Amino acid sequence: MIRKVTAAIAALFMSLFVVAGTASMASAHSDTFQSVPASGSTVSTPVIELQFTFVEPVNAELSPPEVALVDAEGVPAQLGAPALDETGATMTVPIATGALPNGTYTASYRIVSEDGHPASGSVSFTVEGSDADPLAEAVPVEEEAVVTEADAELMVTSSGAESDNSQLQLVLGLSAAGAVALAAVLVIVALRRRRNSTGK
Amino acid sequence: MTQTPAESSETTGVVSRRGFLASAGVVSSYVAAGAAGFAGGALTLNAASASTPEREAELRAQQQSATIPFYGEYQAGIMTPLQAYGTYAAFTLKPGTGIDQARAMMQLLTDDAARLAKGKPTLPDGEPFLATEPARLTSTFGFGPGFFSKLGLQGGLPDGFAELPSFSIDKLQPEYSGGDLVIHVGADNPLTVAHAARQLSRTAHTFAEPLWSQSGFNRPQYGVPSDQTGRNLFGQVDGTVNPRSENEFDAQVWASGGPSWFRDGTCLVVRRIQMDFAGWDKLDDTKKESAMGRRLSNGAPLTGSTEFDAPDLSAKFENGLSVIPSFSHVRRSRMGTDAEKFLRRPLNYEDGLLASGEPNAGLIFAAYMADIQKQFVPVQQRLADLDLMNTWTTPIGSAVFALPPGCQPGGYIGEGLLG
Repeated sequence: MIRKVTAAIAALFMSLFVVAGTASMASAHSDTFQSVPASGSTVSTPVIELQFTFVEPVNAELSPPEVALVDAEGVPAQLGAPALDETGATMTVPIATGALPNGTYTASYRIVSEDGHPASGSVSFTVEGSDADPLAEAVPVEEEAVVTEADAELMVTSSGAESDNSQLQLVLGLSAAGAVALAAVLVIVALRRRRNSTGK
Repeated sequence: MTQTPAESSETTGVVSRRGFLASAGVVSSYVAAGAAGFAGGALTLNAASASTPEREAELRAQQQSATIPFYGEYQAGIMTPLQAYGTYAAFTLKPGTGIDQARAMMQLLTDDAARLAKGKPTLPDGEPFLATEPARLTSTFGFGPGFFSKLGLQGGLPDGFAELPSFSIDKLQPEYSGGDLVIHVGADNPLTVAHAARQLSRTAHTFAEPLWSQSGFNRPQYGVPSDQTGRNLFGQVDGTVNPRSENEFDAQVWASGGPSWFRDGTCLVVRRIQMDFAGWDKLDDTKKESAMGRRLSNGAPLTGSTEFDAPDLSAKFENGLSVIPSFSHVRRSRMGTDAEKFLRRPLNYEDGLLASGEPNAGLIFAAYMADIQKQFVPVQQRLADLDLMNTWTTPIGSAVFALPPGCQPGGYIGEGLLG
């Protein structure tokens, strides 16, 4: 299943690259095209982490990623340290205060891809059916309760991330190196159901 | 504001370096100070006053004859507003050179430099007519660590003066690194620079072997708006955070402690920074600006609107991200203490094409500070640790020099150390 989806996505972008890749001068690479929660989505399962999957590995050694999460009033959520999976392209950021309360959120990132290109963008999503306390009153959960390891219970393949750059153009403008990296894109994005979603 | 008799007695139309900044008003920008300074010699290119061919010809002639006094409290060519052209040349002392030879070398170089600064040929000068357009010519001298060790003068080493530590970003090439003696020549006329560099190098060569020479350029100061700092070959405004007032020069540039001979001297760090133009060109303007933390159009920080607005490192967007990114050059270079400031007098270099077809070009980074360890090393270490600009820039040369204070007629540069 995962392999099929991955292959399909890779094939799709490969073909776009072939058709339109030379038409674009832009060549930034790591702009997200997948996130969990997905941009514009409404989520009724507990959101305890953010996940971004970029088209090229993130160079965290060159520059530690910046991630921010704010609610509709601009109140920031406390976030844990971003972690990258073995491909380097999927970044998971635990929410230090545990499951998000109901509301609309904007998650933003600024990362540097392997070739040193900076990229940033935001995704917005809505949380429903949560019984967590409002952000302003939230306190960080214990370290062990922070989940950074995604499983594949739920496959999310929607895209549409907002960015301060032209997302499509950036994806289409991939260099040969970027095209190779595309094949490595694994959209293993999942929401992990926690036993104790309001654990404090 | 004291003017020495020597400065006052220079040819007419000359403004002393100290008077020069003062007359411009110490709060005005460094470049503006240069332009205003020339107002003392009627050297402005205002549209209204430069409207006739005759007037423009007159101004051009004045530009070429403009002089910067050689003698004074400080060496010329440091506080002097950046000239359009410059050369840094480094030498190693010949084996067996002792203090007597070093003294003779500095006496001869001083005599050459003082003559050239006034538009006079050296003795001898094979091309005396090339000396007649000084165009703000300055000649500045400094000693590398080897100068002290080879002459047994380790006791005279200035505080904090030593070779730089090796940085992770360095890919240093010996042909652009090190040196026992440096000669820096600057002027607004490239012929003048070449001529002066040749005369001084010939004198030095009697006592020292040439090690490297680097020449570069900036935009001319004449006839262009002077309210903005110059640009490097990446198009970035470069040198915004420079000392401009005398107080700032006293705090950052002129040595006050250390050995007595070095008082009013300064230290020089020269680093040759190669630029990756193919890589840089792949970035759109937004990414270029985020890497620098400043706007390309006018050099304003991303949190401000004009070049000299102070960057607000704590500012965040509504979405919670910092406006000046964590990896930006501006944030990384300004994170330190107030002591970590210095004067930059950069030159751009362009030496043809590499085999790749890209320009063999970059920046001759030249920085002046009283104490290298306290003021420069912490900044360079932070930038080596994290600065997105490292992706497109590579240091390929590095050298440090201690620049003695200036001297008066009859004296010579370095007399406090070699006398």
